[in-house]
Formats: sequence, structure tokens, C-alpha cells
Amino acid sequence: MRKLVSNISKSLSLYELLKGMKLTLSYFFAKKVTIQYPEQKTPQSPRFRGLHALRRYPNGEERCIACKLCEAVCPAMAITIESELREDNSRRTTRYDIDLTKCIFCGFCEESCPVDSIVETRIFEYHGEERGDLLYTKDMLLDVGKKYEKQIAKDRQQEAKYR
Amino acid sequence: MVKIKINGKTFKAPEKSTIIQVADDNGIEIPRFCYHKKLSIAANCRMCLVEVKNFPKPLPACATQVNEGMEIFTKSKQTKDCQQSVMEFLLINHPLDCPICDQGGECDLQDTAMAYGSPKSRYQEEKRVVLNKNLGPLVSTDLNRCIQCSRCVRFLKEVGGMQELGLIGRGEHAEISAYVEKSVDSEISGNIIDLCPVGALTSKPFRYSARTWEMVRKSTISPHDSLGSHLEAHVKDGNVMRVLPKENEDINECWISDRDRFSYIGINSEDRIKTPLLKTGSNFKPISWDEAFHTLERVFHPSLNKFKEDEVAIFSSNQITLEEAYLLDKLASYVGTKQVKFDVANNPNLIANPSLNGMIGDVESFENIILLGSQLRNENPLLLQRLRKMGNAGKTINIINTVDFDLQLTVSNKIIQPIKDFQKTFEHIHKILSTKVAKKENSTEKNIANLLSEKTLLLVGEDIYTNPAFMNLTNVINQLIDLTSMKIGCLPTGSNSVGLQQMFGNYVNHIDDKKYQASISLNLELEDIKDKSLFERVLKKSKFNVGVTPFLNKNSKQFDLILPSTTHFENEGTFVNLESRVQSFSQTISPKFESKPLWKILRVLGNFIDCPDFTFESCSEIKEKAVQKLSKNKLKRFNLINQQVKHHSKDFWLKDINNSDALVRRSTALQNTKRLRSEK
Repeated sequence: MRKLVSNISKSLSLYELLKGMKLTLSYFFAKKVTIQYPEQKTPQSPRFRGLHALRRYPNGEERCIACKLCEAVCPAMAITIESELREDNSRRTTRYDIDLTKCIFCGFCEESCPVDSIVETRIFEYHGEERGDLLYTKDMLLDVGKKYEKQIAKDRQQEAKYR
Repeated sequence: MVKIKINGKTFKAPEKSTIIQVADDNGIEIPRFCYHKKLSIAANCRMCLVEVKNFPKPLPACATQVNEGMEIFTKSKQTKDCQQSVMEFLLINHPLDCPICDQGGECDLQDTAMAYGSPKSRYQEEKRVVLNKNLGPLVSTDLNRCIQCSRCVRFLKEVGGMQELGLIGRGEHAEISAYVEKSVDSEISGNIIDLCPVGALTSKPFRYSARTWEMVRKSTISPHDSLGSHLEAHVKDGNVMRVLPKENEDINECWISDRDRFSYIGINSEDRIKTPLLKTGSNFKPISWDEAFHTLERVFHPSLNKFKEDEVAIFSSNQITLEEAYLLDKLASYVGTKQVKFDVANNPNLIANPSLNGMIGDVESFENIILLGSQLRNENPLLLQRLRKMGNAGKTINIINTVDFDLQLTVSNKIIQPIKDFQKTFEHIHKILSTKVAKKENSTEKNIANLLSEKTLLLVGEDIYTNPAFMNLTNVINQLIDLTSMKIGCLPTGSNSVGLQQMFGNYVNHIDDKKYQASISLNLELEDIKDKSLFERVLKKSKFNVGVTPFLNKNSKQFDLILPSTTHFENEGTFVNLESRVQSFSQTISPKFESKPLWKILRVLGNFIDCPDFTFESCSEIKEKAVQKLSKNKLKRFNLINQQVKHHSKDFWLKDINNSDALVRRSTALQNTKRLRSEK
């Protein structure tokens, strides 16, 4: 009986509504956590796993030796590699494709690479207008690597001690 | 039998067997590098050390014979310590280049290091460097990776017959080397690639092209010799990447010849015909299959073009499958041809049922072998390997031949003479045996005569039993069989020679020098044929020539219509090997370009010309019918079947192992090897 009276009085006095509004009001004056993307951006970890890149050594030689470990470890089977015996008797790729529509950005390829060739960069803003646009070939990946090499190298340097 | 204990479990083992053999037979794992069941024991890698009770030091399992009551521990602390230390020593000088090593993923060292090695390396110093050697176009070397197990050295010495590799230097300076400026020329040299437990010896044509885990393994049968070796083709993206042996103790043991291993390179040759070609004037015009079959219909359909008896000639190689031969025979009788000329490459058949007459493995149970003729090293290198093994085991190998081939085996008696003198020799042997006069004669014939018994096998090579001179020999050999009850066998060379023989009985395979209205040639190239000028002449005289072949070749210009058939790897079918074993194989890759398997071409052609009973839907359906036709006649004595051979080329035809068929001829790696090496 007493419970019934208390429920009715709470309902009539809009007690629960006011309780909620109190929380709303506290956030209205609190410091904001949302940012104004794209003008503002959240900070990124050096371990960020974004768009892939193929790196080169400082002397210009491509790092990838076509060991195909990334192809083997890729859980989404997004990587396709073909290899050959290059004229100077070294083992190199003739094809290195990553299908970004298949990729799940797990970072296993980077982890398996014995020569730090395939890496995942901090880039996450890219798009394709057709399905084919997201099939990255060897040249495209090498271009990404060339463009962001400074950042990539710095991130690897920073993380080296944990690897 | 002795009783031994391994890890507390009791096993029965044959006397004089080694610990590693007993462990292998019972599924107990002992790591090893230098030990191989087919090679002699070196015991130099020390990986198989095991603890044995009452022995102060661990013993190498590969070189220790079992004794009654022996107690062996393969998982004890001492054994594990030994394995870890040996592994550490082996890895001291082994480069860590697994990512660029072709052996990566199928490497014994990699697997053993993961299973038995220490997880940490303590070695800080510099590793040794060994310069690579050029061993020829088939085997590539990376001698930094070598762990000196000496398997390759022992293989070439014991199985290959000639020590072409050796281990020079001592300790850290030990390295595998060929003779100065010499390559490895054995015709079974490719096997050292499989034997090498690390990536020191790898396949040169396969180099860096694929990884072991990306390839699909498909079984097939070798088309290049009559042994019918079991092969495993590794396929990636519709291409054969490499060919490896599939173990079969009865046939090829665990080896294959280089010809079987590297012929796959020919599949993608530039000579491959892409579409059917029709001759217009002096050029060829690509046409569709439909047009091609309509052209054939106009020529061969009985209602449009009625041929008289034997106006159409059909020539085929001896690599044709049973199914294709069956269809071809039906088509031939429909167009009025009495006899398809199978196996036109060689001389005509003269005797009935030329086959090995027994199992390949049984050859080794004989005490004496007499090899009459045969270019065994060029025709059947793996059978030669078995004879070599017999020679090493102290059995006698005797040779009567026209040419002194270097077979690289221990020969007891050798007679080299022209074929016309063979009769004299055998009559002499017969005289010695039948008169039983203990003459004080000291001749090779006497030595051979003394060997003849039921433990003796006379093997007759294809050159000899197809030579007219052999007709005079059969009598005296048959008399010798009656006298001494020795066994006989023939050595046909084609992958399906025996199958064709069993299916069509005693077919006559020589080309008649006459004018035909039309001809069909199947998988034949001019180089395959002994009497080249005759074949060219017959084609020239014939009005309409059809060539069914995967490759353009020297005599393609003589054809009016060329149909692209497939190579062996794109085909399916059945071969009968020289011991009469029926072996079927399936497609390893799908046909390239617009080529089609020969049996499909024949099947569709049959429908176009309304040949009756041509309703087969699969190769296995045809196989059922074809196998029923195989006769089970055995070769007990030499019976002549073909008394009057009109045409016969008497010249000796020296065969080249790397020129035996169209596919081998187009394998660039094989063509770069030294050729005709067994000619002295």
C-alpha cells in the first residue's frame, strides 16, 4: 500500500525525469570529448594498422624478398605474390597484390615479415570508387612506402624494443 | 629375430638390422640427416644419437646393429642433450636465410631445428662462406647451407654409378665439390635435389618460382619410358611448377630420371599450337574446332568420300594411351584401314609379346643377368640403376652388344660385336653346353655359358629384338632356354609399347612405302622416327595429311590440317608398363590454349563421321572396354610373328635420352645438359 502511494507521487512530481535532466545538465557544462573531424584528428598510436606499404632500403633496393610468409599467414587471403629469379640472381617479386576489400587489417603480414618490407601505416583516409580501386598492386604499395617512409621508419624505430 | 626395448616397449627386430630401421618400422621418430634407407651408412651427421643402456656414450642409431636385450631410449635426457648440442653445432655455419631458400617449408633442418633444437643461439662469431659451384643446368647450389651429410656424394657413387661429387677438405673447410670445371651429368642427377636435407642443392629451373605450401600435388605416371614411374606433379595456378618422385618400391623406388623430372618445362614451349590450323596455299590459317571437324567430316565421312581398303594411313607414337588406341582402332576400321601403325618410331615388331615377363623388382632376385643389346642408359635409366645395385651386391652382369656403352656398372663378361655375329656367339655357347666336353677353353663365351641356369635372366633390348638379324637368333636362344631353363625378358622403350602389343596382338608397325589417299599422324615428330625420309616421302605422296600434335615441328608444313592435342600432363588415360602393370593417371592441369586431349578429339571425330558405338562420356568408360581387350600372354620363348617385313632400316639408331619425345625436346633445361654422353 505504501509502495503504491510512493510510486504515484513520484510519477506525478516528474521525479525521474528531473533526475535524468540533471545528468544532461552536468554534461552540458562539462569539457567536450568530441572532435571536429576532419579539421581535428584524434592522436594515433605508432602501432596503428592502416593502409599497407612496401618499403625500400635507403639505397633504393626493395626490401621484399618474396618469401611469401605474409601470403601464407594472411587469414583473409588478401595477398597474392608471384616471384622469380631476378637477373642479378636475387629472389624478388614480380607481383605483389593486396586486395583491401578482403583485408581485415590484423597486422599479421607485418608481423611475419623477416625484412620489415610490408608494413601497415597510419593512413586510414583512402577510398575507392570501384571495387578495383582497392586492389593495391606492387607499384602502388611501393609508392605509399616512398611517400611516408620517414613516418614509417620513425614508428618502427620507436616500437623496435617491444618486438 | 632379436628382442629389444625402445623407450620401455618391447619390439621384435630382424638380426643385423640397425636401431634406426627398427624405430622407423615401428613409427618411433629419430631425427637424422645423413641416413637414407637406400644409401650406405655414413654416420657423420650425429643427429640420430640415442642413449643405450650399459653403454657409456650415446650411439648413432643409423650405424648400430641391434642385439638381444638392448634397451634404447630416444627421449631420455642424455638423448635430448645430444640432439640439442648436435643441432647447435650444425646451425653454427648454417645461414639463417630460410625466407629466400627454396627448401623453406620442406626442409629437414628447419623441421628438426624446430622439434629438437635449442630455442636460443649462443654463436656470435662469423659464419663460414663457401663458393657455389656450377653443377650444370639442372641443379643449383647454395653451399653455405650445406651440412656435409654427404647424401649427394653417396647417391651419385652408389646409385648413379659414377662419383661426380666429392667432399673435399676437413673440418670447417669441408665442402662439396665436383671435379674441376665439370658438371654433374648423371641421367638421374635430379634425385640429389630431393636427397639434400637442406637447401644446398635445389632445382635450377624451379628456382624461386613457388613455395612448397602453395602447390597442389597431383599424381601421374611417367610418359617417357616403359617403366611407368610414379610422379607427383606440383601444380600452381594451372601450371606444373615441378615434378617429384612418388615412392613406389616395386617400380621406381624413390627415384626418377631427370627426363621425368624436368620434361614439364616443355609444356609452355613457344611451339605450342593454340588453335586448329588449316593450310591455305603455303600458310596456315587459324580456324575453330567446329570448322576443323567439319573439314575432317568432308574428308573421312563414308557417305561423302568412300575409301577403299587401306587408303587411309594412321600413324601413332608409342606414348598413346590405351583409351586413345582403342578409339583409334575403331575409327580406323570404320574408314577402311586394316591396321593402325602404332609405334612407327621404331623398327617393326618381330616377336610376340615383348615385355619384361615378370616384375621389375624380381629382376634383382636373379643371380646373373645377360644384357643382349639395349641402350639401357638412354632408354631406361632407373632399370639400369637396379642392375647397378645387383652388380654392387656381387651378382654378375654380362653384356653382349653392338656398341660398347658405358653403363657405369661392374660388368663380368662383355662381348662387343656386330649384330650378324650374335648368332655365331650363341651357337658357340650352345655347343659348349650341349657337348659338355670339358675343353680347355678360356673364352668369354665359356664364362657366359657357365652362368646359364634358371637363376639367369636374358634381357633383350629393343634394338635387337626388332632387328631382322634377330630372326636367326630366336632358334638358338630357344634351344638354350630348353637346355638351361634360363629366363628371358624384353626391354621395350615406349610408355605404352606393352599395352599396344597386348591390345592388338601382333600388330605390324612398319610404314609401307605406298601412296595413300589420306593420312593421320598422332603425336609424332620427325625426330621420333627412325626412318625419317620414308615418313616424309609417304606424307608427300598422300593427298590429305592430318597432324594431331601439341607442338609445331619440322614436318608440320607437310600437314594440311593441324589439330592441337595436349601434352601428357593435360591428358588422362592408362599406360601398361614393361612388366604388364596397368596404370591409370588423371589430368594434372587443364589443357592450354584451345588444345584438347587426344581421346576427346577422337571421340568427337567419331561422332562427326557417324562411327557406330561412339557414345563414351568419360575416359574411364573407354578404359573399361579397352582393358578387356588386353591379352595375358606371357613371353616364354621367342616366337616370330612377322616373317616378311617389306621395309626395314638396318642402321643402328643411337637414341638420346634428352631427345626421346616432343615434350623432352622442348624442355630447355634438359636440352642444355650434355647430350649423347653414353657414347664412348
